[in-house]
Amino acid sequence: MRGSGARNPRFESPYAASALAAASLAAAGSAAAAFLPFFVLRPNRIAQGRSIALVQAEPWILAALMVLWAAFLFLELRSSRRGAAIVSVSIVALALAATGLAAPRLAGVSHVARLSLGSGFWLLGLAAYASFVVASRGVGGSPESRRAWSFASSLALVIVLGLLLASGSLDSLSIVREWGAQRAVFAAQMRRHVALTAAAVIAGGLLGLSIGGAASRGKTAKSTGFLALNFFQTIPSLALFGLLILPLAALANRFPLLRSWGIGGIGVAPALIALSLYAALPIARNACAGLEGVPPAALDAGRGMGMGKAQLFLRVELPLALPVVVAGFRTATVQAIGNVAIAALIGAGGMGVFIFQGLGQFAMDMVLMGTLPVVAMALAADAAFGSLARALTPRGLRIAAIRAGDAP
Amino acid sequence: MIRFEGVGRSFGEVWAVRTLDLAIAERELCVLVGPSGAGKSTILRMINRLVEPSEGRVTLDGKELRSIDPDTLRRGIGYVIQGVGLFPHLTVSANVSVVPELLGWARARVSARAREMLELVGLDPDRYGPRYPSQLSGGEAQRVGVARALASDPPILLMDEPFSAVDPVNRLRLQQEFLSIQRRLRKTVVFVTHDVDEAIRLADRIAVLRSGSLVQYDAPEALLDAPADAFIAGFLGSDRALKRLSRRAIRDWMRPARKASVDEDLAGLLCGEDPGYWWVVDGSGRLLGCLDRALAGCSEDPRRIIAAQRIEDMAVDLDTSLKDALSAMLGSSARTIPVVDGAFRLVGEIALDDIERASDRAQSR
Amino acid sequence: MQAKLVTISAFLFLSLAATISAQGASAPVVVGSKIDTEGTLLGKMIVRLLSASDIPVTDKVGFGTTDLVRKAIAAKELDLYVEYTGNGAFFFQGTDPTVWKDERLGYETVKRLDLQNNGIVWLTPAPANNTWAIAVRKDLADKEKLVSLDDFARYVVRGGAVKLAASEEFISSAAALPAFQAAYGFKLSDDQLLSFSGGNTALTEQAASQGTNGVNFAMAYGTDGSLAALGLVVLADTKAVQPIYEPTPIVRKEVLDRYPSIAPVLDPLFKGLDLVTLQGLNARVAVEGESPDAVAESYLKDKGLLK
Repeated sequence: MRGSGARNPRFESPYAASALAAASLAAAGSAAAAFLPFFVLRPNRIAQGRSIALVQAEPWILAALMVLWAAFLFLELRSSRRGAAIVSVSIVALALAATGLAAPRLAGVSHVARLSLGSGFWLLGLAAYASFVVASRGVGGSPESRRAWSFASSLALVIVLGLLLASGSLDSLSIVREWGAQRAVFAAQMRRHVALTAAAVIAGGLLGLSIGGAASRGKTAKSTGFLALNFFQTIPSLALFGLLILPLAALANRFPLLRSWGIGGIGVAPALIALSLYAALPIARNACAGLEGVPPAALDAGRGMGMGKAQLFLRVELPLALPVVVAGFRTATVQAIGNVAIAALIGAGGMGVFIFQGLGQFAMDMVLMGTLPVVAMALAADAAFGSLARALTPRGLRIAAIRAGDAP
Repeated sequence: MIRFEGVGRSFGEVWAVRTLDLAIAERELCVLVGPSGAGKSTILRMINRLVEPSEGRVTLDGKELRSIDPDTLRRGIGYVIQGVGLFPHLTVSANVSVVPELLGWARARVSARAREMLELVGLDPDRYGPRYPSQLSGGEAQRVGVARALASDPPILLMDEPFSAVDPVNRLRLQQEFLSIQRRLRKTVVFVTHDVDEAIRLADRIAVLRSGSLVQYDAPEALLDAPADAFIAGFLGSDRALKRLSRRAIRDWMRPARKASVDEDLAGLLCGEDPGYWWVVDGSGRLLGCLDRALAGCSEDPRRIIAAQRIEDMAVDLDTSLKDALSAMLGSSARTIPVVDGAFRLVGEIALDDIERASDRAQSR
Repeated sequence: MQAKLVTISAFLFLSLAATISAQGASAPVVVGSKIDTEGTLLGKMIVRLLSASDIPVTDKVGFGTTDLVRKAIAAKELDLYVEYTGNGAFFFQGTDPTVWKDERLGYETVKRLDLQNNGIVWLTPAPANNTWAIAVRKDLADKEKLVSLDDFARYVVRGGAVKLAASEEFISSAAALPAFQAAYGFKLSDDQLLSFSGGNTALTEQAASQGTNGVNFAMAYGTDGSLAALGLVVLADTKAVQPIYEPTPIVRKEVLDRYPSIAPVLDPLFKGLDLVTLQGLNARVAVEGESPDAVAESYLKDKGLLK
């Protein structure tokens, strides 16, 4: 190991740091797989569970995992980053395969028994994900190739998961059984969740863009606009939903036309109003910042050259502000995905239905069935908007950012 | 002809400009100079209607500015500002092409013009054209700013402290290059600065402003000779005589040089009857060194003397101002220094006496 | 320009809300329920039964807490949901507390008061008392011979190890724990109690079953299906301290007038839901993980109420 003997501080730091990270992750990952409960078997949905270690369930796979962790550490220390990254992806794939093999055997016999994934599985997965991140940071090449590389790895994992699910080997898992019992409802609520998020971001976007645009032009507009939005942001979502019930109900009673459109005190309408108000703030903030970030000298020169107000906006302000505005939408969308989960409590539907029903029945796997899709959606939305922001950044700005030392 | 008639501009209670009567002739470089808050930028921006007068009127060739559509007006006026204001998301070529594109020129014409303008300001279009503003230095960026302003060949150019944000070395170069561009193009230029030296160096006429009013409007020599009041005298500085010299170029005041060729018998010169000095040149006329009987004895080797000299430090070129020539003389403790052309060929010499003559001449006027 | 933007966004907003929401035809009956297992189950049964009888129904089953659901029906957002007779004590202040301990009297009182004050009609109740109870770990019950709350009181006074997991409501409401304590003559100190906010018996029963934090007693509801599966038994309320909570469908009068067949359709369903049946159905959802809708459908078909 280069770092251990040399006294040269320039080499010692970065190499030793990543070696330490790799070693800790390998140790944590192996310990999690070996010692923590990998599965938890319950005789029925709500009774207490019995832990099952991986060494009991699939000893050969445990051995294979140990070998893979050792391989990961070895490759990392030799700085073959790509190899290390591939190994970390394989670790996750193997853990999933272990589940696929063990589940039918452990819980397949009884249709009442419930097999859940224990802390060992989750920590192993976390360690593997962290290892992947550490390894791919070091992979050389342009930022585009690095992004393609992470995308390819995520895709590989999704395919593995998909194959396992399709083959039915994961069917005995508690979370899959929960899903099986509610398939149609799950699909409907998923659609509802996406629709609510989209509607909230669109409506909030329109509101936020108007307020942000006005704010960048005038001080009074700025202070009142943000005062209002900040005020709503401080109200916890559930409270805001509750507050909207009475006025909306009164309104719907006064104008029956609204009720026939499905607008009333409970359900989608109050949820959508509150969600849009929450989404409006990050969008307004970013719209204002984006427009204010346009160099004033450029605007002065533009006007002085004879560009009309509309032309100046379309040709100069908009392209320069766009990346920041898109970042605002990114934040708003990720937030909205989370907020929609709470909207289930006033009857708006969405994944929150499973979260709260699960909580009410103390069935943690149902809660998980509601939570994992929300997390996955949030991650996907974040990545998608990230790519969009990059695509919409004018080349001149990208170069300026690189020169300023910001990560591309 | 740009004319301000009784123009005033207030911002709330404060009057930035007050009863201004000013006529800027065509093809003249008029510099608006004065301390901060004198209203210079405000007046400049009234010409392209970025600021509207609160009272009075501004006319262009007889037509009131108020009657011309602002955007149309501005497309016919070049505008260069201190912060340059290049569009960061466009390449240098695209930046330069903005106004011609606004005017609807054909694409081929636009790109040809962009190349031409970049060459005019001393930037290689192939190297600089595809670059982005963030990749330019301050001086390069302002050159692009000037190129952009001149792209549509406007008759009028407005410049608001364009070189103030550039470092002093580059500032001087930019001023000289701009002067030569202006000599070629002969635009009507209105130039704002707070730097007196810059004003004197560039202007055909200088308008001295103070607290929104015009105090004196004259050619630089007249201004230096006869400042209207103590304020202006103070503003011009106590070195007015030297400043006068900065308007004079060596080419007008130099004398023929005492030459000696390197192939001559230089040793013989040192021992001969003539007790003076010679400038030694090679076959093509390039200056190599100086032989001075006052400093070198008969027995010394002329070639060794010349080899040991740093003649580059002593020589000045034709366009150097008398002020800078005087500075070079003081620096090399010589009463006369050689004048060379672009290829370092000796074309004459300039002596302290010549500078005194130039200074005297100005005084007697 | 600003005004245009506002109108466009308003229009877009409304149309979006419209497209997402259910497209109701001629004023359907909006059926809701509380978000717990039993509420969802009964709600789904009602939805299926009414739809089969050609009454248009909008399914808003399982969406909120008691509070929210009550607010909703008052605001005419909901038309029908299942409420408990004993809750009349909370909805209507100043009633004689003993009234609620009698099955017949409690029902009649709440029926009268709700119709008078809120225009809400209480239909046929189910003969299952889903009242508050205290459950104990079976192993402990066997060991200490705990069968009724009398035994429990003696055990407490004796100084036996007690940790009761209960909701805040249960602990502080005069009709709940304090009533038990007064009637049976025991008093639980603060460190013998583990309180949760929100009346979630699933949580408390889990705690007792797993022995978390030393919990060995849990607040429970009479019809909870998970008791047996979790190894818990209910302590008998021999002194009948608790009010009677029978699940009853309640509906707004205008809606009932519009669809009078609602009453005869739901009557046979609720008459047949006794304590044991309800416990069993709840168990299928909570313990075996069947979806409430599936359980509802199979039960209705078994009983011949649905073809």
